[in-house]
Amino acid sequence: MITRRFLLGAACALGMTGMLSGTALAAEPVLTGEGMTIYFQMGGNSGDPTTLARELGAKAAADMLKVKLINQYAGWDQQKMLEQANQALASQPDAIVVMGHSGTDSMKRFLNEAKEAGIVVVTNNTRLPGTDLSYFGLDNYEAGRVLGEKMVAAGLKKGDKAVIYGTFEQTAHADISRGTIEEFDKAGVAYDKLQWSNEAVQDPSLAVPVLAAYLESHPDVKAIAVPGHGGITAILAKVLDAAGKAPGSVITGGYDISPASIDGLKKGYVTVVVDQQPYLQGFMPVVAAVLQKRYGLAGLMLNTGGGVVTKDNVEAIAPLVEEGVR
Amino acid sequence: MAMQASHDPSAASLRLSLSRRIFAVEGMAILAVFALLIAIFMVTAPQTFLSYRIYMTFLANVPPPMILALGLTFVVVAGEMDLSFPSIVAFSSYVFAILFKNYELTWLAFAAALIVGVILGFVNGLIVTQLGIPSMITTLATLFLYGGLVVIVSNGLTVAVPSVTDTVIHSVFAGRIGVLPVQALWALAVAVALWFILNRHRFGENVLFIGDNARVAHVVGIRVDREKLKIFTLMGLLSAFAGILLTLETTTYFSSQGMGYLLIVVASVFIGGTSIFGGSGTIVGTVVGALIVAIIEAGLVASGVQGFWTRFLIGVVFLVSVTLNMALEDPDRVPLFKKIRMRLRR
Repeated sequence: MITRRFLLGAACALGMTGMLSGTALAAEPVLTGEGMTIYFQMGGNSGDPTTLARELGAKAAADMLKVKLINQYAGWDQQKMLEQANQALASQPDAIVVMGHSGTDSMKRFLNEAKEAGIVVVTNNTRLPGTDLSYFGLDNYEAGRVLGEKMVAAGLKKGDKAVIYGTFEQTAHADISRGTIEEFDKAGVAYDKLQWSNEAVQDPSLAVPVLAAYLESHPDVKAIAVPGHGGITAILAKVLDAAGKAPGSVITGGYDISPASIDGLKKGYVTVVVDQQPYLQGFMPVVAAVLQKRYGLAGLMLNTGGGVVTKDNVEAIAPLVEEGVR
Repeated sequence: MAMQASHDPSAASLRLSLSRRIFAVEGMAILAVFALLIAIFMVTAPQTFLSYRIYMTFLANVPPPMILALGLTFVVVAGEMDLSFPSIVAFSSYVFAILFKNYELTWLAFAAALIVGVILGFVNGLIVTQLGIPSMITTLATLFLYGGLVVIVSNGLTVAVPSVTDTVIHSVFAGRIGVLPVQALWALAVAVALWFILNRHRFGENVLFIGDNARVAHVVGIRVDREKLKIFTLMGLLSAFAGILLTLETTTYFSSQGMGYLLIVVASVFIGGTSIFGGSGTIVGTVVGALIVAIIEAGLVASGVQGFWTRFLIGVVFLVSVTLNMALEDPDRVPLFKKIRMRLRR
């Protein structure tokens, strides 16, 4: 297992290699992905708050290493991700970067066929447990746990009531909710679980009346946790406003920063946002795919997140969010 | 006396005809279903549904899907379908947001966004009438086409416009009069205008005729293609307007904007009682249908329904609402009720 520090060093070194190529200092052979084609599953829709930074990161790495990059977008539909993985396989590229939302069992056939064809497979955002593939993303459970921990630290006490608005199915994504739930359990925080709808996942404004209605009918609720959806995290300020709650009167925590969640943090409506740094989830898999294809270096892993954005550090991060890098 | 009256066949038939007359008024049946739902939620979630605040939240968030559903009612009445509106919503939202963000344009951005909607709707109509491709397929294709185009044009970027809340245009279209969201008044104005067009204007008459039988409409001199072109253009215009209202309310454009509306808008039209076969439709029904669709999930959640049960019960409430709507208008429209009534008569 290669450590995070080593990987970041490797990425910097790659950047420097690119900059120094053509000079006497350049080491030979220069790492390049020239002639390589990589299919890359971006997860959501192009440009959405949780996808854009991943796209930009992948593009930056592809430009640097001269890789031909083909992006695939699934609107976070795991069935579509599976179909797209097989479509990519049919094109016989050099490497495929997949998301692990469909689970290891459903990906087994794809993985076997890719192995037989000599195609490098790298995972990003969500792991495929039980495989030794390189992975760049959050430890979902850990991210959910951090979210719960930070919300408790923000003032939730034993016996307080919270609502968790997320997904609780047996999917990799539900690991985030599990982490938050376990942290709430540990702190003695009572909670209701609300399942988000497919429509709200696509158009988060549809979640406003639902959460506002919940808050109205449960005035004793002290916190809202949204483990795993940047768009819904972005409308938390609207929810509190609609329910007549003052900024800071309800502890709110979510996932993935965006211009709207930054605004919510600044105004005090949003308490904490877990930042999974999707730019790295785009950049690193391309680098890893080239390293594996050229030098057989495999099994790389990097937890891209674990950090949180609060009112204390939001000002420093806001300009990078505007650029789409964070 | 009351018991005697209830056994009097003439009084019973009078009461039946009275209830039929009441529910024969456009939208009364679905309005009764809506009132019943609200009453149920007032009992199951009094803290939420006996307070004005939740209704204001609905009135702030329902107008975009309601306006889309009103436009779609015209399309469906004409025997056609439009599935491309989510992408037109996204496209117009983008045009408005980017012009505001980069050039601080407000009214010009508003006009430009509407023009984009009109053009995209017009193109839909042209494809349907000139290439002869069924509207369902045409608009399914343009759903992807327009949606893809806006991602290309916007480079996939989300456009946040928080400062739009300081502008006059925000006050006009998404401000508050006291606690009342202004966009609700705009949705009401659109509904009233479309009701008059559908029920009192030559264009509406032509739409109904075309939906009933396009061939006969053509024979009697209605320029079917021209009227269809108008219908799709109107849908484009209303989609753009809905997109602007949505952007003003959320102060953000993102590329999947509007996509979550696809099924709920279609559901609003059919729950409202518009015929899937064309030729008949109700504007009042669509307005109430959109409200029903909006309150169901919030009502169930406020009532304490959690997890997967919410989705299951939304389906149940949809089915019951549509059945009740038909039964109240005319019990014989529901075959099961008709059979039961006939057996009871025997």
